[in-house]
Amino acid sequence: MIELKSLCKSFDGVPAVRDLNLVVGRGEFLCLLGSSGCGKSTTLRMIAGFIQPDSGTVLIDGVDVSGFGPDARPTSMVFQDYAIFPHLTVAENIEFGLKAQKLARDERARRTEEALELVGLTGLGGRRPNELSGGQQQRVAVARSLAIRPSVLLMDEPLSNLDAKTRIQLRTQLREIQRDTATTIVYVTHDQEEALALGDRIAVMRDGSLEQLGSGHEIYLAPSNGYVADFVGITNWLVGEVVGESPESWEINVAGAALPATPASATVPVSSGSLVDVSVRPEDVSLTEEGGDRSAPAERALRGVVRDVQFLGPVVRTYVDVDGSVMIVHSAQSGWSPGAPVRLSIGDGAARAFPRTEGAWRPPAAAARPESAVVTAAS
Amino acid sequence: MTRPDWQRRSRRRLLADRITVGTLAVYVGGLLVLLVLVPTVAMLFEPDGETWRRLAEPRVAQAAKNTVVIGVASTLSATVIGFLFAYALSRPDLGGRTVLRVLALLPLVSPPFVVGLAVLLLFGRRGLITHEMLGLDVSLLGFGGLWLVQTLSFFPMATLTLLPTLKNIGSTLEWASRDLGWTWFQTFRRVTLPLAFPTILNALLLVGMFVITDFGNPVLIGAGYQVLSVEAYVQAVGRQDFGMAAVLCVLLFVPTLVLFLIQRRVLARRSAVTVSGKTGTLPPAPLPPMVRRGLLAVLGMVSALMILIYGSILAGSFTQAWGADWSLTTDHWRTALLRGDDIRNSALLAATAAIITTISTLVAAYVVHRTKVVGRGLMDGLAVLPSAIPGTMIGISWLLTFNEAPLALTGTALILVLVMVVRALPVGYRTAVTTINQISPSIDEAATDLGASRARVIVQIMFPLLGGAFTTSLVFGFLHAINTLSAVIFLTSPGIGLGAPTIVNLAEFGQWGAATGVAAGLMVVSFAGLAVAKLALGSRLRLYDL
Repeated sequence: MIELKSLCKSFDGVPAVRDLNLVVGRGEFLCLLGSSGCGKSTTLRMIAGFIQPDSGTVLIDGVDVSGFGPDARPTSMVFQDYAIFPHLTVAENIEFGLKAQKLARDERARRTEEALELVGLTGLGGRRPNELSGGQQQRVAVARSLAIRPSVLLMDEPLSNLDAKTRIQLRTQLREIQRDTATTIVYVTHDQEEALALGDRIAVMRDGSLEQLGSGHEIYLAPSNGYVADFVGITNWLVGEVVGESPESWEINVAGAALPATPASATVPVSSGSLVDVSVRPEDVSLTEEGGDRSAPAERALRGVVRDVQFLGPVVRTYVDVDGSVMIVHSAQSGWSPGAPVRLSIGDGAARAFPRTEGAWRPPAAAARPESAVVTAAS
Repeated sequence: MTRPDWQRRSRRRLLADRITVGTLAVYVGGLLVLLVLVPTVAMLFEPDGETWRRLAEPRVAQAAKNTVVIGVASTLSATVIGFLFAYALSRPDLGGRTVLRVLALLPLVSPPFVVGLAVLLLFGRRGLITHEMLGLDVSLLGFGGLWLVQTLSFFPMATLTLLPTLKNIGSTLEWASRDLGWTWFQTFRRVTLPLAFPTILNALLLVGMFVITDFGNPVLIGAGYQVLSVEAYVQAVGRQDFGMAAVLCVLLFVPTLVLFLIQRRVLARRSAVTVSGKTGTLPPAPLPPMVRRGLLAVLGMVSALMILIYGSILAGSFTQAWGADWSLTTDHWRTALLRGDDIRNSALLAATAAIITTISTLVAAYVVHRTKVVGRGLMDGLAVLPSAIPGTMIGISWLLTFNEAPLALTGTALILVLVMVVRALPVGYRTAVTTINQISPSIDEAATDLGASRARVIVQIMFPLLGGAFTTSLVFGFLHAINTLSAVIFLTSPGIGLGAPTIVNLAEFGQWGAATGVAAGLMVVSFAGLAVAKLALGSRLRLYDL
């Protein structure tokens, strides 16, 4: 178990981690997710003892490890660039940490064999690191770290140097190893898909602070602020005016249509007439023929024109011009062709509204991000 | 039937390209054969059977033994000091690295024998410390002094070689070891040293080559401790016995060549076990306070000695008569800079040599690496061979080869420029090869594909891309050329004196003031060249990356 209490760290006066509080439970798989420079690696290195915090404490299994070097902490790190010792064989690499624990020769051999089996490299103990593929090298690194039976396994973007196929393969293997060994893992990544696939819980970080902590479900379906909504997954940003409010749902006027939206934060009061940012996931939008289907109430749907249709395999991505901006729609199939006028209906409870508070994150302009879209209100 | 226009054009293009490549290849091949191969081979045939038998003479055996003993001692100590400097420079948590950097740079950009000259001033028979301050009648001349001097002169070579490797190991692998439970010392022993071992070996070989071919330091302070390079000089210049001189040179050439060949193999094999290049953003692990203090103490002592040495050169140049009259004067500077031609000659000839070297090595690198001309392998070998030939041997062999028609060049400025070119050639060529290889072949393929001829590719694509590398190579060549002593000392004539040999001649006659004046002047010129290039290129000047 790890407890981070009010951790702060600055480099040359630039804060990297600001007042971070986090508890990782025993046997939990926690992902620290964020873009580069958000402080996730710094946090990991403070847990490992590579760097000491300016203030705050790190507790591992209830023990304050402040001032302890990495050799004195029950943690083990898996690095992005593997950090396999090139002058040692695979087995010698794994034994390296066991020798530091002064284990007897046969115990070392047994644990080395066990670790190799765990990562599926049985029989490769005599190989040199340069005879292994990147994926194999990273599995050696995992075996080397697990062999010393650390209280916490720390992983710093361990899969980002590997090709896409190997990455997904290793991801699955990592989950199995974690279940089998019940190791506590803190895993740093900038890849939201990886975080969703691996983490029991995900901690989304930005500018050295925690933005949201929760399961993958919560992060994706109920982002607590605009940054999390935008960073995790693809989303469409709409700008609307609040026209009606209840604690559960706000009614928002977007481009002439009245959409019900779930407020992201129940604590921020909002008044009628104020502007909010609305996030809608592409899979929550459905397209119907303009004027064809009368079942959807016209005042709850947006109107647009299909611009392009891309077949991506499992989904079809349709780009729709709505009032001069582009919305992305995901569906299983699409018979639309460019130029077709369509109606865009948004599933119940799928739209999330983010009040514009002082200093809060705002979605960037559409022009800068062709991947997502912003629909500007016609006010 | 008439051929389409593009077919006729491409035939013309093919012919034009052959002429371009052929011209360049003939230039490079001719230069290398004439300046490297011919003198070396001629040297091997100079001694007759009678002379070869004189190898058994006791003074030859003594000189050979001395060369080996001092060679091993200085190589080991220089590499150890060089390692400590490199290790300290690779640690950002260590203070005073700028001082270390400057001190390691000094012997690289000034003539190596300046250290010898300084030890003569400080610890000689009338030395400031031994005689004046301690009133002793002893001196550090001979084995001890030579050991100290060569260690201080050549450790920067080891630092330069070791630093990139130590920087590379510095971060992730050491952290990984610490993370797996080992302390700093155990990490150093189990990870850092084994990983640095091939580079340490490389540094040992490189320093070894410089030490055993060193001429300036042993001639100044070797005193009775004769080594092969000095013995060859004595035989050639003192006794005009060129046969014997040649025998001694060949005797010195053999081990140098062996070291050189081993070093090439070490370098070739090392590429297989390079440390993973990506170091990420992880800073190196901090040193334990004990280690940091120990390292700083040792390096502090070496640094103090270095400051003393270069300071004494400066002091000597302002002193009326070192050891006799300690009054201050600017006479020596005025003589060195204004009245004497030596420094001016050195600067002019070295600049010329640098330009020739830079252009020739770039052309050679292009011919060897970007064309399919016959004899590329031989050209490659000949371009780096001069680093395995002792300077003494180059000097004597040139004296023999270029003394008579059709190649009578002795006594001209041209022979001095050319010998400087040969001395600067291997380093220049290696730089050029790196530079050429950095230009992706697809760039000149793209130009060729768009219809450019070879000549156009070279002039319009290669030249502009070389930019900064060209200047860097120029500065490198200049420093090598201006500081060379052993080869030029045989070839200077009364008409055209050069700075480096003049220092030795003045020192041999006890003219300390004049000698240090010329030495300081030469260093000022070297640093001025370096400063100009630094100003022009800023951080793009990648010279002696410490």
